[in-house]
Amino acid sequence: MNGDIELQHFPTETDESFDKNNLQNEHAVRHQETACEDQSFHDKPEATEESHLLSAEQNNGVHGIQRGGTGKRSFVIDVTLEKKNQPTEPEPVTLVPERNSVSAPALQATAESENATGGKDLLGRLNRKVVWRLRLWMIIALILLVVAILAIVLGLVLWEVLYEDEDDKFDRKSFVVPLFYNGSLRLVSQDVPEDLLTSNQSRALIEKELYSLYNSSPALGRYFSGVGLTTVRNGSVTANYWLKFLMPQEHKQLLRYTLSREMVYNVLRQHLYDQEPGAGPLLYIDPAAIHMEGGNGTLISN
Amino acid sequence: MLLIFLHLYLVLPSPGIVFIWDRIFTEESLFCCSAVGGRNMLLWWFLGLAGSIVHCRGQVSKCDDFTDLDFRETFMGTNLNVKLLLFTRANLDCGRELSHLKLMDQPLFQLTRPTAFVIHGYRPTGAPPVWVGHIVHLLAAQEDMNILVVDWNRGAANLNYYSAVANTRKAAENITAFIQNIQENGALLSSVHLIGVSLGAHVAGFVGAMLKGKIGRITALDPAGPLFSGTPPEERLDPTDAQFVDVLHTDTDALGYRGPLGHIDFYANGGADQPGCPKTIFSGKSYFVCDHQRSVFLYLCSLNKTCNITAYPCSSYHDFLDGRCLQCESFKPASCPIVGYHASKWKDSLLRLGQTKVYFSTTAVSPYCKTNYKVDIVTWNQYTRWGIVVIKLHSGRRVVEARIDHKLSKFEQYTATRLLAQFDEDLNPVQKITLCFLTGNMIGPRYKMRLLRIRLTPLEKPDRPQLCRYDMILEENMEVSFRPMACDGSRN
Repeated sequence: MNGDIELQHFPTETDESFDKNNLQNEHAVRHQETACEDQSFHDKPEATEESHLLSAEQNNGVHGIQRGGTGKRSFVIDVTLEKKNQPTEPEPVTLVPERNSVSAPALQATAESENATGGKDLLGRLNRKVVWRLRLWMIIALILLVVAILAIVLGLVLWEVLYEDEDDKFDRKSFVVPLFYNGSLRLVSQDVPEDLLTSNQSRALIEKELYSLYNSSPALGRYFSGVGLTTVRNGSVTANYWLKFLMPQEHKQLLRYTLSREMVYNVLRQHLYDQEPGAGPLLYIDPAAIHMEGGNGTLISN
Repeated sequence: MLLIFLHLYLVLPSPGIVFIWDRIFTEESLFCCSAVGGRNMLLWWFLGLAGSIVHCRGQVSKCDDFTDLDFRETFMGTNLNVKLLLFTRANLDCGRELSHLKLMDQPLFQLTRPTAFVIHGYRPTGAPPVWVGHIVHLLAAQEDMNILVVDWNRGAANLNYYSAVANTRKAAENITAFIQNIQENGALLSSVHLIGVSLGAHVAGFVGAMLKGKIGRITALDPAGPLFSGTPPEERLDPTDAQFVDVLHTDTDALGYRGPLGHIDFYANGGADQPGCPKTIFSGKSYFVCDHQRSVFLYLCSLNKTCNITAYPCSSYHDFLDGRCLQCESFKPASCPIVGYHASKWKDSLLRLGQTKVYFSTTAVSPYCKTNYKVDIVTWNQYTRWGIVVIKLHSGRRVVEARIDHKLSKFEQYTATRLLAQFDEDLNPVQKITLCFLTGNMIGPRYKMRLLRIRLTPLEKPDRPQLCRYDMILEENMEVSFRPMACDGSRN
C-alpha cells in the first residue's frame, strides 16, 4: 500500500535523471530523515542534487506528521490527501506567485516562520470558504491571474494601436527642392471623336488620372507635387506632360532610387499595363508609347 | 470477354515484339522522365524492334547475363571474377560476354566505335544492379558505341566491405589489360569513357592511372567515401586519371566521398541529403541507399534529356541558395554546365578553370529538374527588415510555389537583396505573381516591407523576359498578387 502510493507520486515529482533502481534507497533515506524533521531543513546547503527532490517530499512529510502524527506508514497517505483535497499549507506559496525566483528552501522558511509567529490566524482567514468550495486565497490568486492576463492583452493591443511606422511619418513642409520629369504620351480613344481629344475636357481627364496615380503611390506620393499637360498636338494625338516632385534638402539617395527615372517611369507604365484594354475608360494612354526624361531640378520647357 | 479477345489479338501476331515494347515502355515510365516526346518514343520502338530481331536470332546463341548471387554467397564471400558484357544498338537486351584476348570472336564489338565501360560498385546483397538495363538503353540512344558492362559482382558481392575494396585494384588491373589489348588492336584511348558507380568510380580511377591518364573521360557517380576519404590521390580517383573527370555527389555524409575528385564536381542538393529520400531508419534498406543511388538516377535522366539541370559554380551550397553564385561569367558565351552525360561540352573551359565545384537543387521525383529564378528586391524602409519570402507563380489555373526560407533574408534600404527562387515546375507564361513576406512574429503590429522594385530573372531560359513590378507594399503575412510586366529593357 505504502509503496503503491509513493510510486504514483514519484513520476510527477522526479526528473528524468532519477534512477528507479534507487527507489528502495530513497525510501530508506526518507524514512530516516522524517524521523528528525528539523535537521532536514538545515541540511539544505550541503544537500546534493537528489536531495532537493527529497526535501520536497520530505517537507510534505513534515506536515503529515504535524497533522496526523500517526507514524511512518500513514503519513504518506496523508500527503496524498493533502495534495488532492486540502491545500492547507501552500498558501504562503500562492501569496507570492510572482516571485518565481524564490527557491524551495526559502519558501519553506517563510512557511515555517508564519507558522511560528501566530500566522495561523491569517491562514485561517485565508482558508475561509467564501463561495461554494472556493476559499479566499483561491479568489485572491484568481484575481491576480486575471489582472496579469488583462495587462498583457492590453499591452499588446496598445502596442499594435500606438505603433507608428517610421516610414509613414514625413513632413511635406521639409520637401523644398523641386524635381521635374517631362515627356510625351500618346492618347488612344475608343469611339471618341478626334476633336474631343484636343478639348480641355480630355486634357483635364488625363491630368486627373496622372495626378491620382502619383499621389496614391506609396513611394512617390509624398514627394509628388503636380502634373500638367503642356501641349496636345492635333493629328498625332500626342500630349506633352510634366511631373513635379519636391524633395528634402538631403536627397542624394532619394534621387538615385525612389525618385529615379526608372521608378517614375515604370510606376506609370505598370499602371497603364494593369488596365484591361477595352474595359477601361474611353480615353487611355498607350503604355508602349510613353516617353519620359528629366530628373533635373529645372523644368525643361518644350 | 471483349478484353480477352483484344488481348489475344495483340499477343498472337508478334509475341516477341509486344513483349519487348511493353518492357521498354514500363521501364521508361518507371525510372526516367515519363514525359518522353513522340520522336524519342519512335526511336525506342525501332530500337526495340531491332532488339527483338536480334533476340530471335539470339535463340541460337543465348545471352550472357549479369552474375546474380544470393545472400549465402555474399555471406561466405566471393573471389574476384571480372566479366565484360557487351551491349550495342544491335543487342540492347542481350549482353554478350567478351573474351579478354579473342576480341575478334565477337563481331558485334567494333574498335572504330567509342567504348563506354559501366562499372558497378559494392554489392552487399549480390543482386544485379537495377539500373544496368536502363543505362545501356540510354547510352546507346546517345551514340552508336560499344557498351561494356563490367560485371565484377564476384568480388564486389561480399558482406565484408574491406574485401570488396581490396578487390578494386585487381578488377582495375583486369580492365586495364583489356583496354591495352583493344588499344593495340587500333582503338583510341581518348574514345574510352569509364562510368563508375560508388566503388566502381575508384576502379575507374585506378584504370585511368594505370593508363597514365590518357583515357578520354571518367564519370564518377557518387564515388565511395568509406576507406577512401582522406587518402592520397594515388589511392583514389583524381583529376589526373583521365583527360576529363566529372563527378556527381549525392551522399557525401554517408556512403559517398565528400571532397572534390574531378575536373568538375556536381553536388546535388548540396551533396548530402536528397529530397524524397527517407529520413528515418524505419524505411528499411532505402534509408541507406536512397541518397547514394540518386546519383545514378540523376545521370539516367541527364541521358534522357527531358530537361537539363544547370549547375552553378559556388564555394558552398549555402552560398548557392543565397543566390550568390548565379553568374556564369567564366563560361561565356555558354551557360553554366549542365549535369550528367552532356557536361563534356564544357570540358575545355573546365580544364582551363581547374577543379570546379558546382551546385544545383532537384525535386524529389524524376525528372528532378527545378526551375530557378533570380529575384532582386530593392526596398525603401528606413529600418532593415528580416524575413522569408514566399513567391507563387500562376499560369492559367496552375500554381507553383517557392519558399525562400533556408534563412532569414535581409532587406536594407536602397540595397538590392538577391534571392534564389526554385520552383518544382516551369510555368510559362507567368500571368500572375503572388508575394508574401513572413517574419515569424506571432504578436505585435504587422510590419510592412516597402518595395521599390522586384525583378524575376528566369535563369535557365535567357530568351524569356525578366519580370518586374514597382512600388508595392508587402504587409507581413498578407499575400499580394500582381500582374508582372516585362522589365524596362533599357535599365537591366
